[in-house]
Amino acid sequence: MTQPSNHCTNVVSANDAAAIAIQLFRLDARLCDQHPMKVARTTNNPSVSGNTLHDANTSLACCSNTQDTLCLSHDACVQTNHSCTVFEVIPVHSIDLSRPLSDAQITQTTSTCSQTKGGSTSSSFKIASSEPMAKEHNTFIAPIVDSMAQQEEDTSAQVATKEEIVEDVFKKIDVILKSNEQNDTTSHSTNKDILDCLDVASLSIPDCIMHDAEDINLAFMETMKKTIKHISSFQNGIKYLNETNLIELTSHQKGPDPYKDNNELLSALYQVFSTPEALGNSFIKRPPERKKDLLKVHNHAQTSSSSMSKEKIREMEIEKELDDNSMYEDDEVEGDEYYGEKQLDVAGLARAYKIMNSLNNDELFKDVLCLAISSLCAKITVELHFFKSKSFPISDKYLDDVLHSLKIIYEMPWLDDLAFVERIIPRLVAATCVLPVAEQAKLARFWSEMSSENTLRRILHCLQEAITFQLISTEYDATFQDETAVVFATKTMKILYYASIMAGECDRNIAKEDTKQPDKIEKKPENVRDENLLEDILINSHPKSKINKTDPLAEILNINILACRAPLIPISKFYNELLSDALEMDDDYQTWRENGNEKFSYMSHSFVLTPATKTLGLYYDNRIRMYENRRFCLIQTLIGQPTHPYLKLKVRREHVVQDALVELEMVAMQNPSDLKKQLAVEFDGEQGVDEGGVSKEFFHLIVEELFNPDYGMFVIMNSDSGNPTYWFNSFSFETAAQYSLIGLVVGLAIYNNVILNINLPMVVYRKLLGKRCTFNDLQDWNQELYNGLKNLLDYEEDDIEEMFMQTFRICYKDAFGEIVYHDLVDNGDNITVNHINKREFVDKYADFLLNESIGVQFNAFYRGFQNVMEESPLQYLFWPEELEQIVCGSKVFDMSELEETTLYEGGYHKETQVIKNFWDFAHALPRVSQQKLLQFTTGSDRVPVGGLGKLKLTITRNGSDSDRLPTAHTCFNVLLLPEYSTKEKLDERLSKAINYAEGFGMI
Amino acid sequence: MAATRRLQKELADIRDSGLKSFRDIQVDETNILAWQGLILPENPPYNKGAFRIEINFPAEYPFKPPKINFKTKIYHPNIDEKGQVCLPIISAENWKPATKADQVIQALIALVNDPEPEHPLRAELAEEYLKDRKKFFKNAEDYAKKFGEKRPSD
Repeated sequence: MTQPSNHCTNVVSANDAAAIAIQLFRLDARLCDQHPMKVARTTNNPSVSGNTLHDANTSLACCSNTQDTLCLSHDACVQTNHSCTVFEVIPVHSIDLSRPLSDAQITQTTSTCSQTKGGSTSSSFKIASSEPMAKEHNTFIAPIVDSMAQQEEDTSAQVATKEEIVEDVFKKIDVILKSNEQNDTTSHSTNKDILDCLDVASLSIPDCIMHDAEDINLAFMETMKKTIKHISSFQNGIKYLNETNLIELTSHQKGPDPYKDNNELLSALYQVFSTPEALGNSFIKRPPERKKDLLKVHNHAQTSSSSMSKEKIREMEIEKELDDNSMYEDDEVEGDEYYGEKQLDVAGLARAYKIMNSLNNDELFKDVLCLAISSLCAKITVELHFFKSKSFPISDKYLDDVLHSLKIIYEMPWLDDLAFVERIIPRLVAATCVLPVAEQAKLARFWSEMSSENTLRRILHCLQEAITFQLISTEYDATFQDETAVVFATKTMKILYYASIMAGECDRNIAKEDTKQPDKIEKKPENVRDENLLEDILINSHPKSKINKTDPLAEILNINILACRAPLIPISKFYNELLSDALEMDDDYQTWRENGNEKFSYMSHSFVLTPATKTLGLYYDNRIRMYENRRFCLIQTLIGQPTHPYLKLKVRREHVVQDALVELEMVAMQNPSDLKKQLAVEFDGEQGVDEGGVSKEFFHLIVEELFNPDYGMFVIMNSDSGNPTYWFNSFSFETAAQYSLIGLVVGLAIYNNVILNINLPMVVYRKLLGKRCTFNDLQDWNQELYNGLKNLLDYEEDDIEEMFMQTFRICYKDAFGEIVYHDLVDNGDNITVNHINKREFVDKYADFLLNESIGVQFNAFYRGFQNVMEESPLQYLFWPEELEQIVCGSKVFDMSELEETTLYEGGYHKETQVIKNFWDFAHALPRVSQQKLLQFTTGSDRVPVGGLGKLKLTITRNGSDSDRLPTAHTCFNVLLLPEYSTKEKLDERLSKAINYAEGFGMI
Repeated sequence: MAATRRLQKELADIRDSGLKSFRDIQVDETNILAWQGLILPENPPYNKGAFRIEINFPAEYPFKPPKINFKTKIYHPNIDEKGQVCLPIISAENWKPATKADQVIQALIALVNDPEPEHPLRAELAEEYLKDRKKFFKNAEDYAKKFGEKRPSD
C-alpha cells in the first residue's frame, strides 16, 4: 500500500493523473471494444482489475471501480432487459467517484441506453438538467464533450441492436480519446441534456487542475458532496432504508410490472447503499411504537399483492405515496432526535436482509448492492484518506454515518457469497482500515456486543477467503507487507479479533501478577541467604525494551488477552495457514523489530499466524539476540578481553542439578547477559560436541530430576483423575534459587528451541505470561474443585450456612498427605460463608491456591524464566495455550503406546478378533476422533505425564454380539465392549458412542 | 476443625438416625476424613452377610466428592475385585456439594441391593446375572457367607 498522502498529491497536483486516468480508461475501452461481454465479466473480478489497475493508486482504484461498474452494467445491459434498472443507478455511482472520464463514458453509455430503452433513463438526465452549475468548459474536457455529443447524434441516427451500440460507443470513445490527446477536436454541441450532464461530471477536473493541492482536495470533496446531495434528492426521494420502507418497496415489486417496480426498489437500494449519509440513516433502532406502523404497512403490502384489479392497486399506490411522505417526515424528525446515539437495529436489519434475499431476481439485486457498496467503499476510502492527511475536514456526524454504514454492510448475510468476497471485501476492508482508530474501536465494540457469533464467524470467514484468494491469485514476492488487499484484510481481522476477545469469556478486574516487586521475599530475612545470590542478581538485570509495541486499538478497547479465558471464536480460526506458510518471517520480524506498530507487520498481527510461524518469529528474535551477543564477543576479543560466544556449561552426569545450579549461578553473578547466549553443554568425561543434541539431553536430565516428586519441588496433582499435572510444592524445603533454576531452564529451553517433557497446568502458562490467576482459572487447575465451588456460587436456597457449614478456614492436604488448615481471612474460622460473602470466599480460596500458597516458589520460577525471556516478544505473540505448545510441543498422541499397556478382562485377550478390530479402528481414527475416544473412555482428552501408556486402559467384554453401544467407566478407565460380530458393526457402534457421548449415568 | 464442621455434623446425624442398613460406623479420632462402616443389604443374595466399606472424604469436602471402597469381598457386577465401585452420584461430573454423605450411602445400598448389569464393572458377573440368575445368586451367596462379616443382630 503506498502512502495515502501520495495519492492525493498525485491526483490533484498534476495533469499526470488525468493522463493516467485516460490511459486506464483507454485500456479498458479497448478491451471492451474487442470483447465487451467478456471484459465486463472479468473486470468484475478483482484479480483482473487488481492486476491492471490496482498497481496505480487508490484514486485510480476508484477509477477501476467505476469501470468495473460500467462494464458490469454493460454486461447487465447486454444480457438482460434490465438496462433501465442498472443504468438508472449509474450516474449516482459515477459522480460519486468524481472520475470525470469515466463519467463521460457512462454518460455516453447512458445515452446509448436511452435510445435502446426509450424513456426509461429519463431520471439520469434529470440530474443533468437540474445541475446547471458549471457553465465554462475546461479546455481539457470540452473537446470530449463536444465530440461525444456529435457522436451521440450519429448514434441516435442509427437503429442498431444493443450490443452493437455498446460496442460502438466504446469504439468511439476510444477514438475520441485518441483524438483528444492531439487536441484537435472542435465541434459544437447540440444535445443540451448531455452537455449539462457532463457539466456536472466535469466539475471536479477543472477544479483539480486550476487549484493547488490542498484547496483542490477540498474543492474536490465539496463537489462530490454537492452532487451527491443533489442526486440523493431526486428520483423517489429515498434517503434511507429501514425495515418499514423496505417492505413498502418490496410490496411494489409484487405489482403488475415487475421490471418497473423492481426498478424502484433497486434504485432505492442503490441510492442508499452507495452514500454513507443515506446508509448511515438506515436501520436505526427506534422506540417500540414504530412496530405498529410496521405491522400496518405489512398488512397493507399483503392486501396490495393479493388484490387483482389494477385500478385498486393504483389507488393504493397513491395512498401509499401519501403514507410514505408522511412517514418520511416522521422519520426525519426521529432521525435527528436519535442522532448521537445511533443504534443499529440488528434484528430489523436481519429481517430486512431476509426480505431482500427472498426477492425473485435476487441475483440482480445483489449485483446492484455490489455496485453500490463498492462505490460506497471507494468513496469512504478516498474521503477518509484525505481526512487523514488533514486536508479535508470531516464532521463527526459523517464519521458516524460511515461507521453505521459499515456495520450494516458487515451484517449482510450473503457477504460470504463468492462474488461478494471477490468484489466487495477488498474494498470494504480498505474502507474499514482508513477509519480512525476510535471508530474502529466502536466497530469492535459493536461486533462484540450486538452481532451474533454467526455473523462474526461469517465475517472472519470472508476475510480469510479474501486473504487466501488474494494470495493465490497474485504473484507476490514473499514480502506482502505491500499486498494491499491482504494487509487491509488482516487489519480488519484485528478489529474482529478484538471483538471476539471482548465477547469471549473474560475475567473481571484482572490484576497483573506483581512479580516485579517481590517485596515480601526481600523483607523476609530467612529468605535472603547466600543461595539467593543467583536470584538477587537476576532481579537487577532488566533493561527496558525501547520500541513501543502496544497496539493503539487494543489500548482504546482496553484489551487484555490475559483476562480472556476463551474468545468467542477460537484463536485457531484466525490462523491463515497459507499466509503463515508464505510469509518470510525474518523480513517481517525485522520490520516489526525496527518499527514496532508504526509500520505494518504480521508480527504485530500475530493472530493470523499459526503457532509454528510465530515460533519462527521467536526463533529469529532469539537468534538475532544471540548473534548480537556473538558480535559483541568478537569486538571484545579484538580489544583484548576475550569472552566465549556460547553459554558454556560443564556438568557431571550424576550431579546435573547441582552442577548446573553452581555454573548458572556463576554466570549470573559474573555476567547475567551471558544467559542469552547459545547454550553449549558438555558432560564431564564425555566427548560429545554440543550441536543441539547434548543440550537436549541436558534438559531432559535436569527436567526429569527437578520435576521428580521425590525431589520435593513439585507435586503431582489430580493423580487420581484422567489428567494429572505437576504443581509447585508449597511445602518445599528447596530454596528459591532452585525454582529460579527451573524457570531458567524452561526459558533456556524455549530460547534454544528445545521441547521439554513437562506437564504443567495451564495456570502456570497464564502466570508466566503475567496473569494473576483467579477463580475461573481454577478450572484448568482442578476441575473437580472448581465444580464444587461453582456449585456453592450457584446455590440459591436460604440454608446455605447450614448446608455447607463452611467457614473462611479451608483445609487441604500437603505433599505428605497431612491435613493443613488455612484461614483465608483473619479469624476465618469464625466467619461462616453465606450468600453475601460466598463470592469473596471463592475468590480468596482460588487466590490462595493459585497464587498465595505457591508465591515464593512461583516468583522464583518466574524470575528465572523472565531473565532469559525478557525483551522477547513472547507475550505479544502467544496465548497461554500456544505457550504450552511451544514449551511441551504438541502432545504426542501415540495410540500404540496405549495399546501396549491395555489390560483385558471378561474373556478378552490381545488376540480376540473384536480387540484386533478395535485397535484397527482406533489407529485409523483421525487425531480429533482419537481424542474423543480417549475422552469417552477416560473422561479426559489430554495426554497424561509420561504419555498415553500411563493411562492403563482396561477393555472388558460386555456380553456377546448385540446392538448395545459400548460404554465406559471413566473412573477406572474401563471400556465395556460387547463382542460385536463384525468390524463394520464395531466401527459404527463405537463411532456413534464417542461422537454422541455426553452425560453420565447408568444405562 | 472448621473445614470438617459439616462432616462432624453429618456423622453425628447419621449416628443419631440409627440406620439399619449402615452401622458400626468407625471414625478415627485424628482423621475424620476416613470413615468405615458395615452395610447390611436387604435383598437376596446379599442379605446373607454384612459388608465393610470405607468412605474417604477429600480435604476439600464438600467441594470435592468422597470415594467409596469395599473392604469386604463381594460378588457383584458393579463392584470390582479391588472393591472399587462406580457410583454416579459421587462421580466428578455429577457431584453436588449439597449432597450429603447419608444420600451417598443410600445410593450405594440401593446399588448393592439391585445390581445394574447394564453398566457393569465386572462384565462376566453381569452376564451371569442376566443369563443364569440362579447360578449367580448361589455364587453371590457363597461369597457373602465366605467373606462377609457377621450381621449384627439388632
